[in-house]
Amino acid sequence: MKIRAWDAVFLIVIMAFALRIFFAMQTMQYSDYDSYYGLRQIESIGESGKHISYDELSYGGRDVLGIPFSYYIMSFFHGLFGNVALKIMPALFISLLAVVVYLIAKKISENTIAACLAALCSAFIPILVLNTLNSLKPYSIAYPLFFLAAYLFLRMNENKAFLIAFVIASFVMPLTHPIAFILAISMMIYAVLAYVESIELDIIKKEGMLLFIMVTFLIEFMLYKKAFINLGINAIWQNIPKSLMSDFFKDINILSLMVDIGIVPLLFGIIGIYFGLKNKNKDVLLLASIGISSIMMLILKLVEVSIGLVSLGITLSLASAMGFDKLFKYIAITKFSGHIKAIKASLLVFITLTLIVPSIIGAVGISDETLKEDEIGPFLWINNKTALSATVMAGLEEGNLVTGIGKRKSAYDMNFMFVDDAEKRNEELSSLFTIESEVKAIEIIKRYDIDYIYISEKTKKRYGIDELKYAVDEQCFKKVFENESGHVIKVLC
Amino acid sequence: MNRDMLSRFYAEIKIVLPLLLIAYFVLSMPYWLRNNDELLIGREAYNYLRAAEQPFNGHDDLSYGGRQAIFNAYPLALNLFSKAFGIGLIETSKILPIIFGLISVLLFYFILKRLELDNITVFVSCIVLILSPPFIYLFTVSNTYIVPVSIALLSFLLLLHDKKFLAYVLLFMTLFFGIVPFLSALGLLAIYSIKNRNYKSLYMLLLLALLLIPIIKMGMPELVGFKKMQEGINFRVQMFISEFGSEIGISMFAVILSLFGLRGLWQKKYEHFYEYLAIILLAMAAFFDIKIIFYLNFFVSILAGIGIAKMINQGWGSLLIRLIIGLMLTMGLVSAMVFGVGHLAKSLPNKEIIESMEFIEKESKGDAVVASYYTGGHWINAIGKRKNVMDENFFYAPDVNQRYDDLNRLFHAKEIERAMEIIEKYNIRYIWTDNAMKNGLVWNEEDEGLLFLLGASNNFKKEYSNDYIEIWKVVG
Repeated sequence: MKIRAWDAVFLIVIMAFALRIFFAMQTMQYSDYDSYYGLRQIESIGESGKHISYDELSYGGRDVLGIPFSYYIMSFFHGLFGNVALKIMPALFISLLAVVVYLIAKKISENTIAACLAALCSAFIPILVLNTLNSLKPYSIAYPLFFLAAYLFLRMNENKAFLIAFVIASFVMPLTHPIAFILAISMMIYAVLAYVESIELDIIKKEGMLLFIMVTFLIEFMLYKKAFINLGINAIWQNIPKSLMSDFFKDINILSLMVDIGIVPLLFGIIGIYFGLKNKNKDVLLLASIGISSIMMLILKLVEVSIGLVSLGITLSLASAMGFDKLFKYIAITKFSGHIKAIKASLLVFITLTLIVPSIIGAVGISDETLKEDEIGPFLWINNKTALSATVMAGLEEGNLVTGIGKRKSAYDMNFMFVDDAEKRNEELSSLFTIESEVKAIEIIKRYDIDYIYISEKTKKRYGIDELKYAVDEQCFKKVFENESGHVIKVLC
Repeated sequence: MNRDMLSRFYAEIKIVLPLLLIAYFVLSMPYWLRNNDELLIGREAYNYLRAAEQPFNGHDDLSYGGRQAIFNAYPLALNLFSKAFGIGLIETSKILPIIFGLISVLLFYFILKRLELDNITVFVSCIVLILSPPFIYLFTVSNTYIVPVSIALLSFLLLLHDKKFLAYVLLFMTLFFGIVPFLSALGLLAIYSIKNRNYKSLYMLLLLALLLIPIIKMGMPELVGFKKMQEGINFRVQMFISEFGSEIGISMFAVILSLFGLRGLWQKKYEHFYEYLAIILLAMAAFFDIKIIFYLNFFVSILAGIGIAKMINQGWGSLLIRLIIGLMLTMGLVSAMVFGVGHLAKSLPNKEIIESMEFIEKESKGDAVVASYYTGGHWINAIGKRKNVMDENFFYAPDVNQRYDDLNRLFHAKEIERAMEIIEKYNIRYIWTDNAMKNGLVWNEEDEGLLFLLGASNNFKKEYSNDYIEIWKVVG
């Protein structure tokens, strides 16, 4: 039986979707705390038709910038199908990335099997799976759209439908997520590389690049104008305190690339780019440009490490189609040509072992770390038993749970944009978990108007504590809720 | 005038008149939006307003409690214009910048024509210039750069017509408007002379530079040791780009367009080397004194004009993309203009500041000293008509660093004795605070330093307050 190319792509999409949906449906919760912020946005859009532009709960009130286009899409499906849509749709959108990758890979390699293998690689890049599994973050829509825009760009000179679709994508992409900047910068690099390599670009593509770059810059500057006015170029780093910068913008090394991206896309991607550039292939030049801009932005710490690695990983998967194609063609002229089917099967097994298996292991890990019912308990208690105006202090990562599930003001959380003196605030509030002096603790508690402190097992582990030392004074601190995952303390004085 | 000349004149008028009308509309907008006849924009405008009353006065009784006044020709220009047309100095401070703005547009237009740029490039460059925030700031806010920038343009036009002597005389005049405008003009002239291999002109430049000797004879001014503004590359970039919140910065879209223009010029490789040199030097200098951006803006406008003209003239593959890009660029440039105008319209001083200063003038004795952060100094002098402890005119200011330190110690004093020590040293009778000072300029907390003492000590009595201002009298 001969499998047609589209059947194979369909199979890859189904496999990727099945993996994601299997783990997503194990729990009613989401794998990352940021998803609870997304949930609030989706609920707000569903209730009022508008996203939250001023978050009254985060840090006791702060501006929220940008138009969360992806949350509008999710809200639409949420309205139609209810909560289950929030599990299915992100998994479906990100699984469709394989289709986009297949289309691009087919165009650059003109080899169906190589394109299918590239699509398979892209669907199971470990860091992509880890970042988008059971998550409401906008990446499930942003990444497929990013590469769809790149595909439309590659074909925009072929007919008017592609041209119009590219123009539409040029507006939708920057509205979805600032990763549009990566594509805009890639196009700049593409133009420079084409000039250096004396590759003549179609006039319509030059215009397309100009359009995308200008639209991206204009829209992003309009959306984030307030951030740029207040923070200047520091807006790129989202006002994240210096002490936490290393959590967001890590250094990368070859080992982390091999683990996070996978050895197959890394190896065959580099080979593909090498041969593509050697043959002055314009399409591969664009992939090389996306790769260069991702690496450049990672090294300069202009982009969060996970975002940079995912865009690099998908790009290398795409370029690997070229590498697979070269490998097959090379084998065809060697004595191994008779074993080509066995070699292709071995490659498939190798991909399974180095990409699919690590992705599944990673997914199991994520599933284990997903919030359990008893971890939700304290936040549900906060929601039911505390005053609506109460401010709750939890661990930094748990801030979005305070606002998302507890529906109360958080003393601090991971969204630092527009937080006054974020460095000092983070330092002082974090110190609340470790200091011993009750006087100092009360001073900080009063300063930030904290009514409740939630200490989870995760927080205890992070700060290496068993209890809050100053909370022994029962006149000032009273334990009001306790379960296996933590306890809530009420501030009385 | 023969028919040929007449038709050429009409052709010019058809282009120039709309440009002047647009420029007038844009430049007068901040004042229309402010909707208050009594308010000038910013702080330095009030310094020149007061200086214009007695432009030749060698001693300033109010600034720094009394100091030597350095002559500046701009207040003299305000004074002469006011007398010549019989209008008040406040009106003159609004009208004169706009008139010079219109003159500058005209000069810029004729310079571009003289440089033999095509009509589209000339027109578009002028439009980019008029819509640019630095141009709007320069010719809306009453400031000392208005005249020297116009003079520099006129000198350059004269040089293009080979009227060197007149050009040098005019450039010499820029010295009376400050050292930075003079040095900027000299620098640009030097580049122009080298480009034209007119090395004799460099001797003339040297001669002009000798004019600085009398200033050197006064002794070097005290270098300001405190931070006048934020430091670091982020802040510098923020000051450079209007989209990052700078009221004086160049629009990012103009920068992008000028890159296209630069690409167009680069086809002739090093033919425009000296223009590139001038742009690089001006950009570097603007990092140290942001107002040099006024000069750089003219170069950026020309490059952006060339970029747009290139885009208009080149063959396009897609009409749709051409239309969208045209729309985006127009939106980008217009939004920068709207931002610039809006920023100026909302600038301080506001009604509350004016009223508080009028209160000071009415209620205090003529020789009273009013303490505030140095940014309020010019308003205390010009509107309150009282002495300040210090203001932003740091050039040859007496004990400028000592005064800054003392004021800083006063504002952050935790003990009343320390505060009174400084109050007595400068004979301070009133303390003027505004919301800007309370929101980070001086204090971050409600009861920090002097703010606590003002409320807690019997040595101070609150004499005046509104939504924005508090005035405390020293009674102890």
